[in-house]
Amino acid sequence: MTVEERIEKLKQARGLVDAARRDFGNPMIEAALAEADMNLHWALWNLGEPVELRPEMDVQ
Amino acid sequence: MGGMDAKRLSDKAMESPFWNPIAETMPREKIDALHRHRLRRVVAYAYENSPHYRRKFDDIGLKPDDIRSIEDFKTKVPLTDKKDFLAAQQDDPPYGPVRALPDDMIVHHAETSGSTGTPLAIPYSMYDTVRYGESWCSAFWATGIRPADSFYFAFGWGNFAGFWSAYWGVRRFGSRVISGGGLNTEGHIKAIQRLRPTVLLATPTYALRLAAAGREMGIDLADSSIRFTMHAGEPGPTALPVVKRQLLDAWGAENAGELLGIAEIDAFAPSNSIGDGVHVDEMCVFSWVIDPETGKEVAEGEVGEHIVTSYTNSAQPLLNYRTHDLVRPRYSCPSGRTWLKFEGAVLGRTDFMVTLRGTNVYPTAVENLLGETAGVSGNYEMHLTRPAESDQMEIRFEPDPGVPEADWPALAQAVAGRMRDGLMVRVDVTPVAPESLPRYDLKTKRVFDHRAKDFRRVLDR
Repeated sequence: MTVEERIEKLKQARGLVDAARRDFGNPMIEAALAEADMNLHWALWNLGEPVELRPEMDVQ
Repeated sequence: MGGMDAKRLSDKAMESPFWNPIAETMPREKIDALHRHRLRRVVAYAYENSPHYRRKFDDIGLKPDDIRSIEDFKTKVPLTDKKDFLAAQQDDPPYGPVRALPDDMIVHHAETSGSTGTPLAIPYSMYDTVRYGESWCSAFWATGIRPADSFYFAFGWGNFAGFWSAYWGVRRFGSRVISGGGLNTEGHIKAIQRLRPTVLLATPTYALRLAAAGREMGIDLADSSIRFTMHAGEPGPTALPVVKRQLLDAWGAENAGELLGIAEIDAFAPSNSIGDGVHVDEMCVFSWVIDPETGKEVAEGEVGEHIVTSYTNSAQPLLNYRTHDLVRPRYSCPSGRTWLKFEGAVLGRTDFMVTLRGTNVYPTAVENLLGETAGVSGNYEMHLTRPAESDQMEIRFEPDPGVPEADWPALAQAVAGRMRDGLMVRVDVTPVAPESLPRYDLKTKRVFDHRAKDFRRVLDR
């Protein structure tokens, strides 16, 4: 898999995490998935992707 | 232990020469393109979220859209200094109007050491703590440390930012954290013997103090489980080859690494695999180097003051921040890292660099020359006076405990000669009794300026 393909997978993963998290109402799961999204954002940032400064600022 | 590595990191990852090879060897054009994007975003973020920056920009008629290039950022965004933020925090403690996130997103509080005055309060979001730790991982990897290693923190925690970022880094790295907590020196030594960590995290001074204390207890820590030493907070093994040799000898270690950080900015500059400097993690910060007198950017290889902007402290953004650290920038390195390198790490401070009769004297140079003289310990102080019309510097040093007092004058003469040849300036040299100079667990104070304010550089006043 190329780096570009991996980047695309990471972006898709953020969308999936967001869909699983949004309005769930379960504090534990929402907190865990917020951290998952944070780490996905950090991975994209460190692969040189022009994402926003903080994950919640990106339009999903 | 190898099995655990295989679960978290693949064999291919374990063979990587860098913690993040894509970022650490990114071509300069790509790094600069990212800076162009990220600087624009961090300026907009600061303007939109920090009342301090909004007022500051409005006062000079600057709008985020005015920043379209790296050059715009350097020339249009004002330089800032710790004293600006200290004043703002004192008006509205603890964080003042610089803060850019609401209270419920601040998950960690720390402070600067206060070594130059009142501590600066530092708020962190959860994400900030993760990002502050990442550059440590690049330093660990370059030093030869791997996730199967275990880290002993000879650090008293508290609110001092210091090694908190290293803790966040070790967690990210996947290694074991062993906290020395509130133990005293003897307690640390016993804990290291009992728990058998492979990495020691401490200031260089304290690592050497631990080794000396071990000898007094009849314990040679060169025979301990420690294989690597990692440092921050003071000039370390990349700035001071003599200190590196002392650390490796004292701990019987394979390698010693360090990380340059500024508590309120980030832990941002990991040492490299060849140990001749630190590299700015350009995924986390944007750095450039100016002549502190003129404000103009210096050329590659020239010494100047490091100006830094953090992408990683979203709770308290600091833009074009004057570090007062004197560095020599390089844009290439045999280690293969493409990130901006500070050759020899921090060479001195604009507020500590001593100009003695027209000659710039850096404390690191003094320390290296002392270390090259047999019979001289690493404990010294520089005292500046101006008794007549000319600045004078006295170096007070402790001879090694094994040197008879009768030999001290000859030793002082040897040191004075080495200083004269190495610094190209004459200094007074005074031996003082071993163990008579104060010891510091954190930042060691080396320079004592007794000159009247008017005789110091503007930045030193």
